Amino acid sequence: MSNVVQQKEKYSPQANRYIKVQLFFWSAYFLVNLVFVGLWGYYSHTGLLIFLLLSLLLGFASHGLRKLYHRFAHTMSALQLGLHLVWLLPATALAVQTLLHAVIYIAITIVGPSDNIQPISAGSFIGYSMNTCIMLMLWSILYLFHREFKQRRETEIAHWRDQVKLRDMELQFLRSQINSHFLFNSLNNLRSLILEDPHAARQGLSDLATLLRGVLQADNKVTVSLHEELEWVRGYLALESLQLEDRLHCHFAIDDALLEQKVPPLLLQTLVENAIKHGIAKRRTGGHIRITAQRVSPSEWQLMITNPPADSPGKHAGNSVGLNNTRARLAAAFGDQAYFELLLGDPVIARVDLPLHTACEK
Amino acid sequence: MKILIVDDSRLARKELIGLLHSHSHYEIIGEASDVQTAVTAINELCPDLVLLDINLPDGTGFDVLEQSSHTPGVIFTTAYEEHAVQAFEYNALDYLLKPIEQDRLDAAIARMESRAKHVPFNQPEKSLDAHIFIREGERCHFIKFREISRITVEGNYVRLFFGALSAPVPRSLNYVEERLDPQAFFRANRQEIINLNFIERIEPWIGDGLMIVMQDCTEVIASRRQARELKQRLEF
Repeated sequence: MSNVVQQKEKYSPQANRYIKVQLFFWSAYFLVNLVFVGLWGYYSHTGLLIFLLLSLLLGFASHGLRKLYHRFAHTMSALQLGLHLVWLLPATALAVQTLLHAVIYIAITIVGPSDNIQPISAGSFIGYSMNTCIMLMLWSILYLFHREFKQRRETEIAHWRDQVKLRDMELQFLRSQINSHFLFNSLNNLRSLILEDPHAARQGLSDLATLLRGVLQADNKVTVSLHEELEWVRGYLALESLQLEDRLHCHFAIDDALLEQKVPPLLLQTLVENAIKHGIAKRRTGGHIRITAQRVSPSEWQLMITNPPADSPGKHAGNSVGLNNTRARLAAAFGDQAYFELLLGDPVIARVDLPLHTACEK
Repeated sequence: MKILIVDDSRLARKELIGLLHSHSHYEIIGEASDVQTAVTAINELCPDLVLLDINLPDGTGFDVLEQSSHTPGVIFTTAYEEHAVQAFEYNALDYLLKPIEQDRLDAAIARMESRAKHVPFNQPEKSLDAHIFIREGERCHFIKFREISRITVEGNYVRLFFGALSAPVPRSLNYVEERLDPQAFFRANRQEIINLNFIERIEPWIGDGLMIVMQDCTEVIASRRQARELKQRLEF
């Protein structure tokens, strides 16, 4: 397993690019050093070797730092990271310089003293270390900024990918909005109604068309006006009354001032359908469904659907997929400004609190 | 042929009546709109065939069959194909999707009639050819009484064994016993009724009792009193 990971790391284009950048950065450092030394007239072959060694050591040290950043940087805040760099960078610089001086010392004891090399003092050691520390700091800043930038971009891509997924789910939900049972029962009832009352059958077909158009339109809208939604709900209820006839009684109490308020498409329809499916249709004698829209505060209005419970209430615990979907769609449209609640009692009450949009906001 | 129509939608019932109109020898003897009235109608009117909607206000079409005291021929009607209907894999049973087409209905009824030629729908009471509707988890079965090998008490219910399967039925053992043909079924003890046609062999048992070994190798013990009766019945 670790082999595979290593191979991946070795041959992935990213790792490849990292190695190239590292080579370029530290080669440049090496060359710049040479140029400066040359300009001041201190050039020597021994010096060249030392600079080469230093660049190599720094290359390895920075690679070590990268591993540390990779492992720990994402768990820290910017301040924490900064504080850690304050000790980490000088320590690394000291380690590099100590190693370098140790190598030079060993070389001198083996090969003999070179006249090109100045004697080492505490002052020069600290000076070299500071120089190294500055280089490592520069490297770290570049690396960390690059890393941050890359992460942000990846997060953004992931965010958009999630958005697309969410949208897909929404579409699927909307497609399933038209309950197949309802659709085919309606068609069957209309078929029968054509013989009994052609005029009513024609009206029924128009209602079905309105509702289907609503479902299709709802696909590409986050919200629609209450006015539009109510039209779909009325169409839906008209079709349900073909099925339920005198078992279904509907009452609307809508504040006309709210007709232009926004609701997620088919939200009310879903709740009304629930009220019928789990309430009125499951009662031998049927019942009354009440739909109210009223202003409850200067900044809020409320949709309420009231219906009697089923004759023998089932296990419908109020956390079905449909209800969760309702919550999700409200959140998508209004964030935490909207609130949905289903009270399973007698009567069953579905309540949606929505933010009030004033005319000038539109 | 006497037909009962069960559907909660008046228009849907009307539609079916219209479709059946072309067949003069079908007599629509009643309509029902929920489980309760459907059960009463089946028990009182004894239809040969029920056109039965699966979704009803106070339950399902399956509940109707489970609660009726006898099982007529059934064609299910439903607005949408759902898993409930697929429960009838290996049962000779029809279902129709709404809106119902004339040809489909005619074909389904024709199949019912041809089946009824071999075994008429409304069997005399306690007939071995009468059907019983059994629900076992997601699966539904229509089986003939003659296919039942053994019935045992299980809590407040009884469990019916048929073929290699078994299913609970929400009835008491006494209720079931009254509906069974006494020529074929025998109450071996308080807990069990057996179908005499499924006996493999009988062995003597302690205290003048008998051990009855069924074809599926289950052993049923008959007490002395029951053993005497069994000996008379089987004449040995």
